[in-house]
Amino acid sequence: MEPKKGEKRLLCDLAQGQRGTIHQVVPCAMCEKLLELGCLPGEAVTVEHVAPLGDPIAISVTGSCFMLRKADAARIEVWV
Amino acid sequence: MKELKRVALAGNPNSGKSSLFNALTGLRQKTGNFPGVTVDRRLGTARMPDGADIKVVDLPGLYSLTAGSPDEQVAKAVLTDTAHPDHPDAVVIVLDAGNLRRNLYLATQILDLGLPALLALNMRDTAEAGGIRVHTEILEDLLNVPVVAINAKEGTGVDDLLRRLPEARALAEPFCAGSDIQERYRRIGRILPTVQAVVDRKEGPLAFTRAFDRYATHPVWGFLLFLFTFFLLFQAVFTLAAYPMDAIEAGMSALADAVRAWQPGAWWTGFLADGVLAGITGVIIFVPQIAILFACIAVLEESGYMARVSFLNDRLLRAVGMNGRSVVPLVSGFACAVPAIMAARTIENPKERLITIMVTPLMSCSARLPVYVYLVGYLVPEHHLFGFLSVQGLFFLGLYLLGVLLSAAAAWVFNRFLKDPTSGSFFLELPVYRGPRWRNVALGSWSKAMTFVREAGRIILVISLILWAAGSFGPSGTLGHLPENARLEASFAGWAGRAIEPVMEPIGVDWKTGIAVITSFAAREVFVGTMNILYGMEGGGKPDYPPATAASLLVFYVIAMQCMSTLAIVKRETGGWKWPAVMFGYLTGLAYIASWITFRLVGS
Repeated sequence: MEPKKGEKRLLCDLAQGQRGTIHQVVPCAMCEKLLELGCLPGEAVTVEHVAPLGDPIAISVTGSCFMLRKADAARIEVWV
Repeated sequence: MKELKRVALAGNPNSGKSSLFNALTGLRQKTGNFPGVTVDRRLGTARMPDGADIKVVDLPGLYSLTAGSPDEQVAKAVLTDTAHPDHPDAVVIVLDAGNLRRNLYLATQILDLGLPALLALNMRDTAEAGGIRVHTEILEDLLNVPVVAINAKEGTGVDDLLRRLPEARALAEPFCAGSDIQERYRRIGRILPTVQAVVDRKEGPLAFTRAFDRYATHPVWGFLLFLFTFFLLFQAVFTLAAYPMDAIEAGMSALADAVRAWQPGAWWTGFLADGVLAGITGVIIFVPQIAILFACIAVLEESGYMARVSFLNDRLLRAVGMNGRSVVPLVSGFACAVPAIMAARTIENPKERLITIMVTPLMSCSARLPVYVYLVGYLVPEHHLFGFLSVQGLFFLGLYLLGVLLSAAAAWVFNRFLKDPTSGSFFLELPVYRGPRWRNVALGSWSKAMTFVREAGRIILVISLILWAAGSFGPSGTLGHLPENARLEASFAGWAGRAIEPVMEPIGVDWKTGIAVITSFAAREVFVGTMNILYGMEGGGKPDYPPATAASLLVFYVIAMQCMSTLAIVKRETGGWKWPAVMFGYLTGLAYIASWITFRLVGS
């Protein structure tokens, strides 16, 4: 699946309810874990909920919903 | 394939693995640790259709085998190390049909290890409601291992699974050689369209989850719901547990009276009634609260709500070095710190887990409540505001809050001084809401209560025997001829009370009360019993404390580390004496200083 070109942003900067397509997970200590959880390039991702104080956030990707901290969401680049 | 004696269950968290384990083994299961690590290991026995028994070991819930966390390391060791005591002859991999893609990621990783395997396809009903139908036979053909459809919640398909277990087989060649994550997902993506069909989606659980979560994760409504839920939870725990606790108390004291009447004044009837029976009562009196609290927590976990609570509180708890999962141990700490500290093992990050363990004893546990009740009358009269709001009740709430605030402060200090070797990441799935499986709830609560009896009970029992001896014998020998209160004063315990008087005097506590503080080291509520002996229960005798002494004692009991069972469990969970020593030192030191300040402030 070719990602639809648009504006490239970091997942942590998306607002609640905003959708995007994952461009890549930048290499980091946790990037393997993120990929294994289904944050794969080309996948659609939606920010479902934002916790009080803006952190953590809950995203739905490849059929499941999970929470991650903003610092980890900053490792995921998305096209919106 | 060689004879089937031992199978392992593997699967994603929330895939229904625990339900399947319970359906397979029923009550023939026990919980422990994997050798050398603090990872829960559940081992059970299942009966095959031919009547033979096989061992079933439940591996921790995983998303992958990339051995990062202790859970993953253990699972990988069990599956790959043929010398591991739990190494299975076959592995049953549980799949959530509603999220086949991510579930197959772990499943194919395990298949590639080369073990004989069988796939158990669970939750097809919820998957179909969500618009996905999975073809079991096609999946079996494509992967070339047996696939059995089950409904772990209702227990259907389990007989089928056991019948086909001997057909479990290993892959002839790996599904995906190498460890490239994206390549494995690509290959799974290639078979999925054949395995899954799209059907009409029913707006069922998924729509409910979305709608409900809009409130459950809301900054305002979410917190209100959280507070309300836990308020109900504690109401349930304290009101429901009162009945069995009264029954236990009445029954055991009648039994003790009967034993004493057997041969009054003899040392051995005293030993049985005031040593052994008192010790056993001191253990089982807590079982109702612990069982009910853990049943409530299990309902919240099972339904999926606890994940939302973790989501809401993660940022706040992180500010003091804990994480969203710390809610469970902290809340459990209001019942008993022993199972609470064990619950902290679900926290993956070692630093956040350690801090959670270190501050959990500041939550006022159920053993402290009788002490609060005994002392509150010295400070606040029993009357009601606006006709219904008990002033003493509000005062109790204040004591609980004092513990909570101090735990935040202590956590903040630990957070400043401990190093964090990890990245500080935290991932948690927010599963679709579903009704709790009552069997899981019952078994979970039972096993927590048994853990308490086993781990804390032994120590409480031994200490009560020691305390009985210290209170019944003195430097001048047996004291059986003296009346009860005089006996205690002349005993080793009384002697110890006098010995620590210089230390207790600055916080306003005399040597008699000092005896009660010493005996509290078995379990805090022993304080009340000792005071009743010292001041004569019959006349309702109580010491005439000035308010400053009562306040100082209350503060001391909120903070001080007076529980040997907790120290023992901390030693086991942290693997050494260092952290229990730190815990004892900082809590007791803080308690002493705080009591001293309280005594000065209230006294002036």
